[in-house]
Amino acid sequence: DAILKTKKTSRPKRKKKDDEDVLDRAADEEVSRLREAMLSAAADDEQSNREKLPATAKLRLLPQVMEVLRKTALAQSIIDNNLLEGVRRWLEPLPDRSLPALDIQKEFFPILKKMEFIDTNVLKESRLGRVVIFYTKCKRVVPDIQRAANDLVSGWSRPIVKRSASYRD
Amino acid sequence: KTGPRLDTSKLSTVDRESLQQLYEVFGNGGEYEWALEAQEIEDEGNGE
Repeated sequence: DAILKTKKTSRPKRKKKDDEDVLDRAADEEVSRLREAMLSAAADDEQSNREKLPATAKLRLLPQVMEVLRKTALAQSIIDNNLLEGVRRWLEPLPDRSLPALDIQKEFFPILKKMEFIDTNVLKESRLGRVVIFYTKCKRVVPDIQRAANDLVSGWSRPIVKRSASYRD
Repeated sequence: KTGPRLDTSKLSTVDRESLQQLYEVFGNGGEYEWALEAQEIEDEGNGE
């Protein structure tokens, strides 16, 4: 009886866990597919830029990317699948040294500021910090974006610097 | 181009680790220097 009872009570939990696993897997697949699409669009635009053709692949995919980046429930999947590597690739300067479309910059910087889950490990894996530093230095970056880039750099370096400071205190 | 070298000998272990972390997160600034060169050329053209 005791065994049966345990089985009965554990069933709904298992069902819930199974459902969550299915949802997690679906989220992972969605984010992973998007990452591949982002990397491929970045490569296409680089190629177009080299051939002096308009680079529009990233812009075409931008609405889809923003839809995923805005979903706070996907934070773990975004981390696990290194979607921010795609974001980093999209923010990189093109072969002719031009910056990506302003629409991309204007969409990405504010959303990055909202992503509180971006920590030192996420930054190391995605190498996002390196391109954001570039935006703080490049004179061709519009003032709003440069300010946002500076804010991100201070926010991301704070926990690292604080560790040093608190050790001394 | 290489940036100025820091003398880290007087830093504590924690400071040195933090500095290392900052390098790992933000790089040494050289990664996209090739794209910054464009503005230097422009600046020179403007007589700056």
